[in-house]
Amino acid sequence: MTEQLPIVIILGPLLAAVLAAFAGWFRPKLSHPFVLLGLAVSFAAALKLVFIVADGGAQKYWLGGWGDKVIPSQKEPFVVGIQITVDHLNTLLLAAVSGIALLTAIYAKRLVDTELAGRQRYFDALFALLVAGLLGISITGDIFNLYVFMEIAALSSYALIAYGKGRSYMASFNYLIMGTMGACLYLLGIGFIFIKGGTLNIDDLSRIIPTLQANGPSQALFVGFVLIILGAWAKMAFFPFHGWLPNAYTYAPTASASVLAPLATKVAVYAMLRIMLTVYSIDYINGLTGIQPIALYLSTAAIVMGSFFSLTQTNLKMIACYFIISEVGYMVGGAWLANKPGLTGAMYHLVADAAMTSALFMAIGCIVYRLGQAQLDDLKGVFFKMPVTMAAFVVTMAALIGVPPTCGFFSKWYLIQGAAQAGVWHFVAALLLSSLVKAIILFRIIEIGYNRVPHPAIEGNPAIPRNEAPLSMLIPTAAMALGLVALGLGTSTLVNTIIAKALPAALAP
Amino acid sequence: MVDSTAGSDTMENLIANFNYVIVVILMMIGLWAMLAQKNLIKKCIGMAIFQTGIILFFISIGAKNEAKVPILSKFVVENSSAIIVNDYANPLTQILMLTAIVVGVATLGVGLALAQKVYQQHSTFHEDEILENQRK
Amino acid sequence: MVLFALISLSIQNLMGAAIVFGAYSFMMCLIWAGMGAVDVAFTEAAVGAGVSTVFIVSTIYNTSATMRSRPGGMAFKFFIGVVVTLAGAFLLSALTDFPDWGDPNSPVNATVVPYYIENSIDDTHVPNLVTSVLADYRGFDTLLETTVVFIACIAIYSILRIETAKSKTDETEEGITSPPSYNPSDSLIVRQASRFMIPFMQLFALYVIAHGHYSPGGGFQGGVILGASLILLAISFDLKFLLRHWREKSLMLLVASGVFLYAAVGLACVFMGGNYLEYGILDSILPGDQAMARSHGILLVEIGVGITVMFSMVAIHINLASNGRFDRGL
Repeated sequence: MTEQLPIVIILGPLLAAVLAAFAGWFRPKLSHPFVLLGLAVSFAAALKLVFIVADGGAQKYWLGGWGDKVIPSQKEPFVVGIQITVDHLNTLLLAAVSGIALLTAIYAKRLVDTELAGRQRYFDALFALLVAGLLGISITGDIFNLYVFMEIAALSSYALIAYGKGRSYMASFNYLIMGTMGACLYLLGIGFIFIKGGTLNIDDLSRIIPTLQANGPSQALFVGFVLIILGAWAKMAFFPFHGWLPNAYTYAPTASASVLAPLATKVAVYAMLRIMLTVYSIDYINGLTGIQPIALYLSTAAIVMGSFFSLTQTNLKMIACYFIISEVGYMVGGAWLANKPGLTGAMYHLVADAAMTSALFMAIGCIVYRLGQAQLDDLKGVFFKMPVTMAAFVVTMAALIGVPPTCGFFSKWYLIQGAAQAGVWHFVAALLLSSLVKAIILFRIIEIGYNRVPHPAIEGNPAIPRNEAPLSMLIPTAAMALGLVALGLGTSTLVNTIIAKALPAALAP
Repeated sequence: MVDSTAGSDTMENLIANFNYVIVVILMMIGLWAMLAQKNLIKKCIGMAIFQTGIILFFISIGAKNEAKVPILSKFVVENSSAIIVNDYANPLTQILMLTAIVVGVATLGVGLALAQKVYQQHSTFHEDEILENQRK
Repeated sequence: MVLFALISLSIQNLMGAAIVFGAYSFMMCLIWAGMGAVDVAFTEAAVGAGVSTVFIVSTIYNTSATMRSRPGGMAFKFFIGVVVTLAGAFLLSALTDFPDWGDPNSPVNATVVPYYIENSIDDTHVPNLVTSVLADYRGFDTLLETTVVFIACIAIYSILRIETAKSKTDETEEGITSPPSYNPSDSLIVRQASRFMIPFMQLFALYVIAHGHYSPGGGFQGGVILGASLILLAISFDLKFLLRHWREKSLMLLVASGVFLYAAVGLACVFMGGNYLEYGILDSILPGDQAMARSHGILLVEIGVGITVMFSMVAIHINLASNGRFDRGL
């Protein structure tokens, strides 16, 4: 039974989506519970697999039962079917994605009922399909399968964003163009790899690519690599392909943004890591002496630019979107540093940033729900009106800044260590700069929300009524914020049992 | 990257693999349209051209000289040891491309739907005019 | 063909651009057929040249059909042109690394593919290699592909569908020019011809699905043709006519049921003790041995694909053509 767990992770949300689609026409009230059930099953399976992988190593699953077969003309057996793999690199991500999705589904129920009233027939189904797509990208062991899952996630997200009305249609259209360009580049990259490798299976490719390069570097494999990386960069909104993200996530309804923002870009970063480390191997990366500095400069630019723009924005959601752009810069830079602390930081940050972004968007969503606006100036007195939400918000910002013992501190720690070790000082500077900017923004918000109104506890000042977010939204927000601290405290366990084993063996310390 | 003596080799190679050159040109036309055209519908058409170009590329990779369609004839079905691999065109690339075509038309549909919604709001498909409208 | 692509993009009249694009797709599918990729050519003819063009036309139908050209912006277009040319050169740089055109021993042709060619008939009893790889060896991809069609259908529904009880008041919506009023005595020839064609199309499409094991075809192609037959009904008569026979609710439910069928077949395999989509395990409940069970499994999932694709195409067309109002349209 446990060997079927990998497919259960995908089937949960997929079947739930179909059932929700049926329910939408008969008993609309059932579509949300179906999705919750599917996500819960998926999360349970993913969580169990974390422990199985920690003890037993990578788990491989072959769809249709088609695994290794001996081919007469080849020396070693090749996989003829489609494989899905749960190993040290993706098991934490799978648990994080399914868990955050589950929490967000609970959180978003109220928003769907109010913001999207009368139009929500397929929202739950699209939500579940998005999660199925993201989980699929994370779990698949076949590069073409990754493309198909990528498009499942993409199409669902275009629709989820377009629920926002008004400016969301143009924002979604622009995302569609950029996203499809990225997916097509990825597909083309697969073509170049395929023309030399002859197989689509990730494990088999990692085995034969070194032999293909035995007579010198292969230009086709190089072009394929660059195309795939560019495609992934477009999907994760890495500078200079970040243009679609701020508008898309700001004009999307809160219910959509709170699931898209934490998860979509991180999964794209994972896809990049998977291609870099498993398909191509760390030796190949180290051999690309021209590309590494370019990637690192772009990462620094992403962080600096994201920080700069977040300072100039007055809309809370926009600020959060530019935070995402700089966080993506952290991860790409960490990955391209190609040393132990850098990669550890990047992999840890996958999970940490997903959690932080989720908490951030949930808190902002609560504020928008009650106050109706997300402009900074409207936040007067919000600390009194919504104390619990703001407490969660402050904890999340502290994590983003990098205050111990939240998870954000440890990400920065590893990343700075890695950059210092590699001598890439512009990256270190960028990381510190972004923490500074976030601190400035936090203090600004505290100032507006706390100090600009007469304090109600002092005699003679008007009372400010509490108008806290509804419980169904508040509890997930608070839980996620606490989770940031818990994650931080559990860092060494996570790193030592799982992340360290995901690092390629041939890595320099 | 290439020095002058290798220049003629490259030219030779280009001509021998002329098919690939055409494919790349086609793809780049589509990509250009996606990014540079201001009309939303033209962008969608460009997207479709880019995608069909990629599909042509993949089919080209899988082509085999003088190969038949990948369907086994009745005789061969009965005597499965008589299957000669080189007789048949590559089925794998074809399947990948079937999927790609379907994904392409799905994306085109969603893109057109979004474009239609934008038209309802702004009465135009032209990007610049839309941006102007939004700033008002 | 490059010429067609360029013309399609530069034409001012959007409707004309759509038609030229249809011609371009058609040329593409002829080339692919020439390269031995019949299933792909079949699909492209139905999907690319057929349905895609119809979608574009439906979208433009309710709007103004010309593209107003604006001066300026040339610098940006030139910049993109340069970027694209460099990208193209980059792609071509790998040319020297490619195996020769049509080489039967290239890695693509000689690695995993020989297994499919040699063993497909023994494993699945299906001579059409494309069908066996598509629905069995790589059946998971096909399930996902069907899901993609499903998602597109519900996405377009969610984006466009306006559920108004009173559609009369929609007359005043900005930007929608009223489509020309339909006069039944127009296009008598079209109507009569399609009356004749549609039943044949549908029969042919069912054949395509069922015989996909032995001849080019399968779920997608058959499904698209079935969908096209209904779209033809809508175009040649009136959208209302189609809607009288196929209710919205049934359409959308059927779209979901195809995916459900496919996924359920896979799940049945798990309950019988195999891996997901391992049809061979079903040999205890289906007639025949393991290989026949695979063949039956393939047929079942192809039917599922056909159902979803057929109704998705129709639903998407209805949504695009009527601006989501589901009343009048193309």
